[in-house]
Amino acid sequence: MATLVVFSDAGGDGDVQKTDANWDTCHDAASGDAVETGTLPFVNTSKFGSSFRIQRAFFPFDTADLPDNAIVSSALLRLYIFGKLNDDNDGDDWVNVVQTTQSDPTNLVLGDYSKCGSINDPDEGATRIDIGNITSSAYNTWTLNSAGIGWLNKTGFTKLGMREGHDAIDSPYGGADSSNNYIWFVSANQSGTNFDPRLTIAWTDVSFTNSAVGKITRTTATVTSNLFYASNLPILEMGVVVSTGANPTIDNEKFVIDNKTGDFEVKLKNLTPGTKHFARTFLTNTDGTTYG
Amino acid sequence: MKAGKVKYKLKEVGESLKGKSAKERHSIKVREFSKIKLKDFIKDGVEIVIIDGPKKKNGLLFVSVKARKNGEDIEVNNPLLFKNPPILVPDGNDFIEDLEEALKIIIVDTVEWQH
Repeated sequence: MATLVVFSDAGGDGDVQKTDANWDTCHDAASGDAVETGTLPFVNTSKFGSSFRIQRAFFPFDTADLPDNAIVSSALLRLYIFGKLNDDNDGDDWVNVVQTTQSDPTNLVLGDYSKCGSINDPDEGATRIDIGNITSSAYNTWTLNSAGIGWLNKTGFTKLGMREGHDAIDSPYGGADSSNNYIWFVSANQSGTNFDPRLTIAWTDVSFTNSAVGKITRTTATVTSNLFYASNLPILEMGVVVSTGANPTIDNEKFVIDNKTGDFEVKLKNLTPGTKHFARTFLTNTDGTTYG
Repeated sequence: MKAGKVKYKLKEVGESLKGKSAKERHSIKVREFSKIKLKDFIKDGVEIVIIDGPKKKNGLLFVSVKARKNGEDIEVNNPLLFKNPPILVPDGNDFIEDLEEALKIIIVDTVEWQH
């Protein structure tokens, strides 16, 4: 069990924008007409001087340190949002995570405009967040779904991006001239601040499955489980911890067995009759203790 | 923080990162963070007990902690491994280099956002 927090570094993050009077030309363009890798890029769909403007954001994270055998349990994309506008509040005013095919994660270029997920209806890597629910001057969090977790690259860069709803579903922005649906985020161009984009990945190379309690008597019970162990570290101790309160730890009563992967069984003894007990499988190695 | 008016007050570490590649910057940061003798602390209502670290492990910044909030244990997915950790912390409208404070912030943030 471990948590890897990757802070984006300068170079490949920012936004690529396209402006055109025709929605389809603007939306379907192969290449953008400006790249913003400065302090505060945008995810945006808007109208300026009767022209549409779309800005698509890119967040490459170097996740090569994630072990090949890591089982990822959760991943969070967190962006510090400097500001927002929500002028076309028609239900399509949301932002969500996509997977990009950015050519070079260290250098954002105009041609990446069309590489921010599929042009129409890209796969979405998290739950959509309505711009109205975005909090300014704070970190906002997108919890990656199974698709998003599947995009994590254990050998190189995880290439995430973000699109506004009208852009993602190819629905022309209907706001007035000089209006916007945008979020304005702090980029890694300010690398080294505590507001950098960050990707927090919880993973394990230890997992317990099919855990169950059976053979219950007045003072004993048997816990069965299956241990998957992919770590290279030696197992120091494993078994079941028990307490009369929730979430027992190794500081509570321990029932230790010989180290064993796959199916195993632990007999709990000397339990207090008529008392509710809580039990959890556990494994300790030099990285710490993992509970089932 | 106001756009365009932010100042970055770099000290030794920040200055040493200038002109370096991303890989070199990360490596320098891990080396410098590993020198911190971080003691148990309380931040934003979260009590942090340092079990191990900060230290360099497999090229990453490694910290292992216990955490409590409102008198209850917070389960932590230890160890916490940081890639390219920040060195600057907010100081009014500016940012100032303070590695120890930066580390405390990211530890608490990570522990809280695991749940």
